[in-house]
Amino acid sequence: MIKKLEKLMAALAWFSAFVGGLALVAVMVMTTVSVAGMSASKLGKLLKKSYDTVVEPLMAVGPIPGETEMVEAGMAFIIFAFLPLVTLHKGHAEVAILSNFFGKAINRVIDVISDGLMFAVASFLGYRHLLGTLDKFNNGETSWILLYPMWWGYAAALVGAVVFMIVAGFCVLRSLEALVTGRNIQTSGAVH
Amino acid sequence: MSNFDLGLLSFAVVLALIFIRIPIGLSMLVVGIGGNALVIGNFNMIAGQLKNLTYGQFSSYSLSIVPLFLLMGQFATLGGMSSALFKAAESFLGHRKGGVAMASVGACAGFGAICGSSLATAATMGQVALPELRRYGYSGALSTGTLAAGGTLGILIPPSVILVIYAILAEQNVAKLFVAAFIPGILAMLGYMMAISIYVRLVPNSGGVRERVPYRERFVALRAVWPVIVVFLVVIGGIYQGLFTPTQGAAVGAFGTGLIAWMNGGLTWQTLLDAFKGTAMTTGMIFLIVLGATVYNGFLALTQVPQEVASYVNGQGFNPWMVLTIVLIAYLLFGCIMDSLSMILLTVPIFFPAMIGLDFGMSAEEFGLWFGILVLIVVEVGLITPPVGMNLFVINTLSRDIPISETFKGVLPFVLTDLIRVVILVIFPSITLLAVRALF
Repeated sequence: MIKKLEKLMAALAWFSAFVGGLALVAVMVMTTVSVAGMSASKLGKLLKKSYDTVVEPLMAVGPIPGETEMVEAGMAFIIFAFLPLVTLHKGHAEVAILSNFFGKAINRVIDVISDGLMFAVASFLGYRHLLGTLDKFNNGETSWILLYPMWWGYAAALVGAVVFMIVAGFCVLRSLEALVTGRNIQTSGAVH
Repeated sequence: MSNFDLGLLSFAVVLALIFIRIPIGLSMLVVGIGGNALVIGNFNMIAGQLKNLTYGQFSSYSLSIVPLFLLMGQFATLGGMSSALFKAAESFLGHRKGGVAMASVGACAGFGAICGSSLATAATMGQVALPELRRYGYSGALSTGTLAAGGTLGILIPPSVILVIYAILAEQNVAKLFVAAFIPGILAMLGYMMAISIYVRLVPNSGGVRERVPYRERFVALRAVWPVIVVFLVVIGGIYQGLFTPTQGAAVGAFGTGLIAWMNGGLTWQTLLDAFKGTAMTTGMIFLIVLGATVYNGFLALTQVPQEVASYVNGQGFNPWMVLTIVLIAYLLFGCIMDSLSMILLTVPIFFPAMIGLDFGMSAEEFGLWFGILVLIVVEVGLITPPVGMNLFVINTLSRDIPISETFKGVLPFVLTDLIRVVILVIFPSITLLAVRALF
């Protein structure tokens, strides 16, 4: 049962991180294009000012409007999407120096407490973020430059927040099962 | 209990949670939320804040440098740049006594110019350099010690993820911090090379030499590293010149290293997926800590602890240099058991306001830069000191035949040069500030 669920969760967390990764590449490319446009336009202005030469293509380009806003909304989505993977694979930074002396049973109890707290916090954060999304939906707030409704960014990020909550909930089950059966939790480990 | 007492007590609770292996970011979140509710009397305030706080932190434009630099580091490990750097450094230094180890350090420094993470630098350069070091008869202790220490150059030499976080916490200019880190980074490299040179003379048979490479071949090898130089100059130069923001620089850098990796055949669909995974794991880890630190520091501000500590430290007429020494020693000790980023996020909001009021004979801005570099160096020493020096473990997994106790021994000379360097940088702040004063 847990094993089947574990596979499902691994797939879910990985898919979420994969989509986040694609979004990160999209942000990277978009920003690079914007920087290229901005630099070309600066060059065009410089040529015009210093050498009185007008290079038409350089005058026609510029940075992508609202680039910063897109980066911000994209990043929120990306980071929420990354949280499930690191949580499932126990990649969060922790200090294992004392717990190494505790023995297996106590460490399994710590796992349950730790995963329980993570689930509680993930749920609380997710719930509050949902309310924040509804606020933005209701008040019709828009971004400054592109004037896109703020709730879009919030709603996109909500997807990752929900997956984070689900995965954190599964981690509680997994560590409870480990506590009862004495099974060791297999994770692929941190890769940072 | 007064709010102030609550604030002080909360620090003990956070540490207690951390020491029973609750994730660091989670510990700060739990105590921050709970503490806020205790000060206010109910959950209304923190619950209201958290409607927007998480999104606000995750969508912060200045923090968006972090995932982009991490992706850049992942691409850098794929691009074959590590072996090009190693070959170039080896062709110039390899024939000297201890030269192949020195070349490893030099290559680590070069790699640090396109990678902002110590662990990635140690792991990537380790894969390239360890087999070579063993081939030329370098002892297990010296080989692994060299690469574990060399890895810390990844974070000292800009770009550096930790400096970005420090810049945000201490409200410092990222571009200036990157420039300030440069000379100490070069000094670190030279210090490590000197340590190797002395080590191979004191411990006979710890290192061999390879044949001298003709100059013509040296320059051929050097030419192969041009993409690293171009990416570094564009990213750091562009940020410094104000051509683009640090976030834009990170995006351009990631794009450039991705392009190099793809041209060298290192970037395939499979390695791209691995790069996503690596970036996701580290980004998720960092941002949970960042969020935890934000919530916890918000609570601490309510209790007035940072302000009280600052006015206490400034009101007692302590010798500033004494205070600085104590703070740096505390970082060194904590660094042995805690990761650098968590330590910075947990302590800088408390230490920095107290330190900046002390008179070190420089402006507040210069102090911010100098202190940041000093803290960066001492927390990085933690990466190569037992019991939980992460770089030591990374290198250990790459060289299973060398016992970790050998690595512990081999890294000691490098730790010693780190400590000497910190003392020098403390006594002569102008070494750190020289480049900033000259360029800005």
